[in-house]
Amino acid sequence: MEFTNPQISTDNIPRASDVQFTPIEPDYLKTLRISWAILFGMLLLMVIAAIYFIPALRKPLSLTITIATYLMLLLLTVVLGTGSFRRKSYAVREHDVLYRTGWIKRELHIVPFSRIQHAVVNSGPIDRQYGLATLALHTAASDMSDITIHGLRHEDAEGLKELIISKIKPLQTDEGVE
Amino acid sequence: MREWSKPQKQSPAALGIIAVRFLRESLTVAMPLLVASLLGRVGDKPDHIGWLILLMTFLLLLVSVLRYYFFRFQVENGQLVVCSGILDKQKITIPLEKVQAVHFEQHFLNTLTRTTKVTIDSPGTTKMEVSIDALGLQDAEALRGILLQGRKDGLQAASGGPEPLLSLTGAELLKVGLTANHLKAFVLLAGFVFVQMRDFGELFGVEADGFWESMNVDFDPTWQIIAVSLALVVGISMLASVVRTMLQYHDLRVFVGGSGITVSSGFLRKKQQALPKRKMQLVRWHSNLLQRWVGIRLFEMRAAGGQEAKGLHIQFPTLSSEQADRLIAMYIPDRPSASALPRTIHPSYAQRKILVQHLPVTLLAGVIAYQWIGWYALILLAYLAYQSVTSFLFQRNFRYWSGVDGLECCESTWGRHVSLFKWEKLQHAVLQQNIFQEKRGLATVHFETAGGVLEIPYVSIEEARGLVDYALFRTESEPLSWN
Repeated sequence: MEFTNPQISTDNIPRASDVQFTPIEPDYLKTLRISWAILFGMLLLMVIAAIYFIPALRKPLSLTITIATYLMLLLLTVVLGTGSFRRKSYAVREHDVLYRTGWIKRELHIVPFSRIQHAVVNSGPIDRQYGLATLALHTAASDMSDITIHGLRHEDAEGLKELIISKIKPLQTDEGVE
Repeated sequence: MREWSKPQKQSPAALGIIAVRFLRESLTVAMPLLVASLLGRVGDKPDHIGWLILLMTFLLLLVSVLRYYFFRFQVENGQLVVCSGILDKQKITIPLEKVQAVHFEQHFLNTLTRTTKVTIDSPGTTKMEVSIDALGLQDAEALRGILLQGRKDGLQAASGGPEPLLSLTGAELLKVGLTANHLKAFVLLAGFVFVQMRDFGELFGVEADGFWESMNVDFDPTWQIIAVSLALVVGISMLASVVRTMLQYHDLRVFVGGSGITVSSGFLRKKQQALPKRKMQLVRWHSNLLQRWVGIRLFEMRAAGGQEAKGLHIQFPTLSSEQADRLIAMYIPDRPSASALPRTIHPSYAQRKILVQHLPVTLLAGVIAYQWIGWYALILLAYLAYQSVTSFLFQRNFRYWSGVDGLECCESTWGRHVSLFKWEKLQHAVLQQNIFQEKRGLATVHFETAGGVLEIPYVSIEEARGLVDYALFRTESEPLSWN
C-alpha cells in the first residue's frame, strides 16, 4: 500500500479568536452579590461567635488579624468575582461551543458538539428571582472539567441546550449509539 | 456452557470470596482493638465491645451472602444488563459498543478455585463500572468474547496470538525491579508504618509526637547513628520496591494484535487486561534516570473509564526500542516526532515558576522553620536551589511536535515523560493566560482527552491558537469517533 503524507494548508482553518462572543446577563452580577452577602454574613456571625466564646481571640493582635483576614477575603472575592463576571462570555459555532472566563487567569474553553455526552440546565433560588440559569456541558474528559456557562436567561439556556442536543443526536446515530 | 441471554449468577466461589473480603475488611478495622483486647489494654472501653464487633461482622457477612444471591447479569439485545442490590435495587445497562475494556484479575482465592474476577469498563462515572467477583476461566473468556465482539474491531488477536510481543526473563524482571521508583515505595511504606503506629499508639495511650520522650531514653543522635538509620531506611525501601515491582510484573506477557492489546502479569494477584485499539485515548511512557540509562520505558495505555478519575490505564515496562516502536505504531502509525519539527517553550516558564511558586514557599517555610531550628532553616535554600534547577531543566528540555495526525510532547528533567495523542481523541480544549503571560504574548494550552490531559505551557499566543484551531479542525472536520 502506498503511503502518502501531503502537506495541508492551515491558512483556511477557522480561528476561534475571530469569533464574536456574547456576554452573559448583567443580572448575574446581582445574583453574585446576593450570594456573597449571604456567605460573608454567615461567616461574620461565625467570627462573632468565635470571638465571644474564645477569650484568646479577644486580644488586640488576634482581633486585628481576624478582622484583617475577613476584610481581605471579602475584598478579594468581590474584586476577583466582579472582574471574572465581566470576562464571562460565550459563543456557539456550527461545530462547537466556546466559553471565556477568568480575570487573573483568563481561560477560553472549547468543546466540540461531537464530544458532548449530555447538557444540563440548572437554576437556583436566587437565579430564579432574576430569570437566570446555568448550562453545564459534560464530556468524557477524564478530569471532569466540563464547561459551565453561568448567567444565561432561562429561555436562552433551554434554547441552547435544545440546539446542542439537536446537534448531538445525528452524531450519536452515526456512531450507532442509542 | 452458559446461556448468556438468560440471567446468570457468579460462580459459587464468589460466595467465599465475598465472605473473605468482608472478614478481611472487618478485621482491618477492628485489628488494633482486638489486639488491645487480647493484651487487656482496652482502657475505659466497655467489655462488650468485642461482642459488638462479632455481631457487626456477622451482619456484614449476611449482607454479603445476600448480595451474592441478588447479583445477576446477562447479555441481551446487544447490551450487558447487570442487576444487583438487596433493598436498593440497581440495574446497569451498558451497550456493548460502549464497553471500553474487559479485565481479568486473579487473587489467591481465585487461583485456588480456578476462577477470575472480571471487570468491565465503560466511559463515564465509576458507577458505570461492573465487577464480577468470580467466574470460571472458560466462562470469563466466553463472556469477554461476547462483550468485545459487539464491535467490528473486537479483540480476536491478543491472548490467542502465537508469540507475545513482550515477556520478561528473570534477569530482565530484576532489572525492572532494581530501577523502579524507590522513593515512591519509601513514601508508601512510611505512610503505612505511620498509620499503623498511630492506631496502635492511640490504643496503648502513647502519643506519636511524644514517643521518644515517653520512652525516657537519653537519646543523643550522632552522625554514625543517623547514617546507619538512613542506610537502613534506604535499604528497606529499595527491597520493598524491588519485591513489589517484581511481583507486579511477574510472568508479564504483552500480546499485540491488529485490533488491540492484551497484557497479563502478576504473582499473587494475576491480572489480564484487554484494551481495543479504538478505545485508546492517550499513550504515555516514562523513565526515571536509572531507567533511561538501561533503556527501560514504562508504558501506559490510557482509556476512558476505570476506577480512578484520571481514567483507565494499563501499565507495563518495555526494554527495547523495537518493542516501543511497535506499541506506538499500533496507536498512531505516523508519529509526530518522526515527521514534524520539534518546538520549545518560552524561557520565562522557569523564571515564573521560581518567582511565583518556589520562592514564596521557601520564604514561608523558612520563616516558620526559623522559629524552631533558628539559622538551620537556611537549609531550605537547598530546596529552592533544587526546584530552580528542576524548573530550568524542564523548560530547557521540553519539546513538542505537532503532526498531521496528533501531538507528541516530551518532558524531561532527570527522567523523561512522553505523551502522545491523536487529534480525534480530543474532548475539550482550554487556552489559558495569566496576567504575566498576557503581557508577554504567551499562553498555556490544555488538550483534555477521556484518558488524561496533555499540557503545553508558555508558548506564544499565536502558536497556542494555531494548535487549538488545528485540533478542532481535525476533530470536527472528519467523522471519526473518539470511542
